[in-house]
Amino acid sequence: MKSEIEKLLEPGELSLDGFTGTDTRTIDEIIAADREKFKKLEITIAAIIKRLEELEEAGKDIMEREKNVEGRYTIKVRDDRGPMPNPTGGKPLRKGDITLKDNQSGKAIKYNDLTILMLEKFGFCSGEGSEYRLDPQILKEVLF
Amino acid sequence: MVQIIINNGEKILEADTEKNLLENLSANDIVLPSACGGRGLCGMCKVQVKSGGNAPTEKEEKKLSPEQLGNSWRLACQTSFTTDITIELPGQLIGSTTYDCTVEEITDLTYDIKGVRFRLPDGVDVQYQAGQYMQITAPAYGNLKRSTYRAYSIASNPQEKGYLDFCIRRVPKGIVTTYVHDHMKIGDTVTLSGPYGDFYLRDSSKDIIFIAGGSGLSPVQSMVYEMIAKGISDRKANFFFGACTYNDLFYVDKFRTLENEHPWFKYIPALSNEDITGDDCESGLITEVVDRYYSDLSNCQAYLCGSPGMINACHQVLEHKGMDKSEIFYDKFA
Repeated sequence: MKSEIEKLLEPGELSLDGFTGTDTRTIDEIIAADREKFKKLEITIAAIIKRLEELEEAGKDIMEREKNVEGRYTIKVRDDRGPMPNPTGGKPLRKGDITLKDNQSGKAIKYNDLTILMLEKFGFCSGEGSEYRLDPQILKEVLF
Repeated sequence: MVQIIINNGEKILEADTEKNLLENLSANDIVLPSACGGRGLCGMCKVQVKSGGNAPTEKEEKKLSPEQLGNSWRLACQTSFTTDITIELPGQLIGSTTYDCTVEEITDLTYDIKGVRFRLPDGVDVQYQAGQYMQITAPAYGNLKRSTYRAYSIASNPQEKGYLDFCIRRVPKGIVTTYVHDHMKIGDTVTLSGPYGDFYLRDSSKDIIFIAGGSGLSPVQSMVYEMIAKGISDRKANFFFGACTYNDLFYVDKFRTLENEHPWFKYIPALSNEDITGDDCESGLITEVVDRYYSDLSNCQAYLCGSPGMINACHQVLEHKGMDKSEIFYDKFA
């Protein structure tokens, strides 16, 4: 039986494509596998969230223009009108996306308030094939 | 028979106790605003329950403050009942209902904003205040299993009957905006509910500053039309519209015409990302342009509509120029 949060992360609930991608694993399996990867890479979720939030703050622009940050990243913060429901019941989340490109490695990640919350609360990095997938290895390469 | 008694008996509904309060109200054409489909996540379907109903749920304890809970506020989607329930609703919500409309026009306003006109059913009228919003329902399409609704500000002139206009910006992977941009066709029937919201022009003698970006132009356009219709010409109104490039501007001719016809109204588009701007546009961020225009805003009122980031930035500039917080209004749904 799927939890309410699992259902909300599926396509067509909070967004058209959802957050599970093409991954056939359960959310618990995805979380467990990523937890192992974080352990091997010796990085903590708290450190990742701190970097994601720092870069979002540095890349904010009220007209949503791309910004270069830290001489290394190109960031675009999209800021949409309207609230996004918070699956954990807290304050509504900001609607929009942060696209972060590491110009050194050429790798990019996409995240938003919901994916940060899922990472923080459950260690969920989105499923393989999701445009919001925060792969631990890529996070380490891009953020540090 | 179990009843829902609304506003001291102003309205009494027969209830289906298998359904929660939100579903019961909706079945009787009283559609409360909601962004989560009745899952207790958005906190928007608040009602005051005077008597009856279950105890507040865990979700309500997260969404409502102790004061709200103490004053009997509940989330309708979390409220179940097996005996009569007495509730209080703002009058405007009793007036809100659903309308099966026909898509009459779809226009490309920019590369990511469409103008949409919905024709109301024959003989039906929606009483709304300029600045309010409606919820537009996208039916299940593609692989989606159920319908979804989202809030959009009305862009039309409240005096003109029979239709409602909207400017809808594409949200990448957004369920409703993808429907509007990629699937909806002229002649389709689409369900709208509302009107909702307390973003409307306040009675005052103060001059007005409108600031908008993107689809935030919608309620401002509606408010300007309302000022014209009501003959409000003793308040100067400057409309600052922020955009990145010329490609992000729309309805320029319309606002220039309004400006020429009404001396109290001025339209000031501002481009933040063009190296060269002509005489027709200001250059810079909308906050910089507003900052340049005014030295003292203590006798003005502002209406803001755009992204949360834009609203926050404008709020700071306006307050810095002496505008009282109580004179700054913006869409709560934003």
